[in-house]
Amino acid sequence: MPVIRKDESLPKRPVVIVIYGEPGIGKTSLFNTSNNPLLIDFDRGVDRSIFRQDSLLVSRWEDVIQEEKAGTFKNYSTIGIDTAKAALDDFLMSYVIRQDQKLAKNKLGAYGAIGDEFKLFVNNRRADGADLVIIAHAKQEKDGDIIRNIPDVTGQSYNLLLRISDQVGYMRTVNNKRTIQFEPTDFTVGKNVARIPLVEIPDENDTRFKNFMATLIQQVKDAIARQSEIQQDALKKVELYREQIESCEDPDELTAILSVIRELPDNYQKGLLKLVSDSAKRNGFVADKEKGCYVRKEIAEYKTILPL
Amino acid sequence: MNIQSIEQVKDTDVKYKVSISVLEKFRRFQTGTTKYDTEQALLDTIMGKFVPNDKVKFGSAIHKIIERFNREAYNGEMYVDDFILSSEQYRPALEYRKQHPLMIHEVPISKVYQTRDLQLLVTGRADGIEGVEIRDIKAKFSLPLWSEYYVSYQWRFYLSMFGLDTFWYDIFEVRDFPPAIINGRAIGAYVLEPESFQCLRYDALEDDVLTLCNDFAEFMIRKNYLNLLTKIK
Repeated sequence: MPVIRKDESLPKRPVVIVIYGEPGIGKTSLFNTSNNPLLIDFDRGVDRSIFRQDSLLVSRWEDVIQEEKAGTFKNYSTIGIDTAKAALDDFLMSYVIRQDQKLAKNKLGAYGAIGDEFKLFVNNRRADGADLVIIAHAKQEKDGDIIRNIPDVTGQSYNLLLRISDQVGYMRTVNNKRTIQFEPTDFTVGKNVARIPLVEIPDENDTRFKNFMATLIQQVKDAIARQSEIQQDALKKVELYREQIESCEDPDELTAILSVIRELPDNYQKGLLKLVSDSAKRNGFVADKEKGCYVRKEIAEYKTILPL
Repeated sequence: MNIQSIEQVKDTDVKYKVSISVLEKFRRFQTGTTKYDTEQALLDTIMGKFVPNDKVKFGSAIHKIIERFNREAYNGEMYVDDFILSSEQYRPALEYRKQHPLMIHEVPISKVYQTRDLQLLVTGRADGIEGVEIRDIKAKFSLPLWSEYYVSYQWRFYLSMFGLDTFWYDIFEVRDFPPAIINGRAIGAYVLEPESFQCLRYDALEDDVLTLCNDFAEFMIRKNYLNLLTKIK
């Protein structure tokens, strides 16, 4: 395993994207525009898609495990699961029950086992460096007075998809144009790490369509890498100031650190201000609000007594 | 709206203090999340009427290990609050703490939201701030339902108030929790490695948060419950 030095950028990690929408809108065709894709077809729906790429037709989850052992997935950059409901609620459900008959009567236990098995599959694809696109139909869920579109899987599988995905998009037709909405709304579930606005999918004859999904996945990876750099930068600053704050035993020094922290961007400030406040308490400093600085508690008390 | 409420509300210098927990409880009541999310349950939360059960206390012990670990284990057991935790119970929290050395714990936050009728001073305390990310630690005694966290307004308020973009729920699932605590021990219980769930800022987040504040303020005025909130001048 290569060592990545602490000041080097981490390689862009593979991503998990869920695309859900009404049947026939072209979700599988969209997947076919990914980079070097392999579709695991659990629903026998690949024949209806256009630009068909390599597909794996499976009859049971054991077929997936067998191909995994044979190293088939390592030859592809993007793996598609079509559909999530068939893979999780049918194939994997049957598989975990075949492994442990008691789970047939213990649905909660069965979903726990499905979750473990699917997470293992996802982790293996990540280890291979492949991106994962999970395709689902849409269904409607009631939340109070609101009716919301969500991926069509059972409750526990829905929870699993929400947890493992980086990006969740709802595909629908708006003004005769196919679109993907990643931003969550009152009426659609979404996850949008890359903050991608409503995307219009180009027409199938448009040259931009041919690698549309590949471009989208790249956008998500770039956004995650960017955020990771911002986070690393913030952590470095926290480490630097934390050392200064924790070793500080002088009220003037703490006041000086405080004024530097107040100049930092808002999003770093609040945590560091808490450390300054903790340090003041630990050292017995109190704020002199008139002078805008920290002083030792005994001096503050002495000053209070002095006028008498 | 009654006369008293109108007078209270018209004083523009007054802010009504409310915690994020109360606002989330209000959302659950408003959407009828469960049969336990009643108006009375909301009022109990506002008035701080809450008697922690053993599960809540156990969760607090896990929290304490992460927040301010300063305890040694003796004979494979660790004393935290009222509990004596086995290594299967304290180790995941200890590991978590080691994995997050730069997390700043228990960071307080407050922000004023101007609703249509009054000003709400919303207060909260984040379990941890790590770089530019917020982290919330929870102990759960059944399979975590991530969709419940997804619809929650807790993370939306924290993102809005800290002005950050990423919030993580770190869930420690506790299995086989016994019906009774014997001599401070939850015998047979064990804690799994935490699973994390990411919640992200989205375009309409600030609008959503303000809408909930508006709904809450309107409800408190209509029901004449404003006197239950602390007034700040």
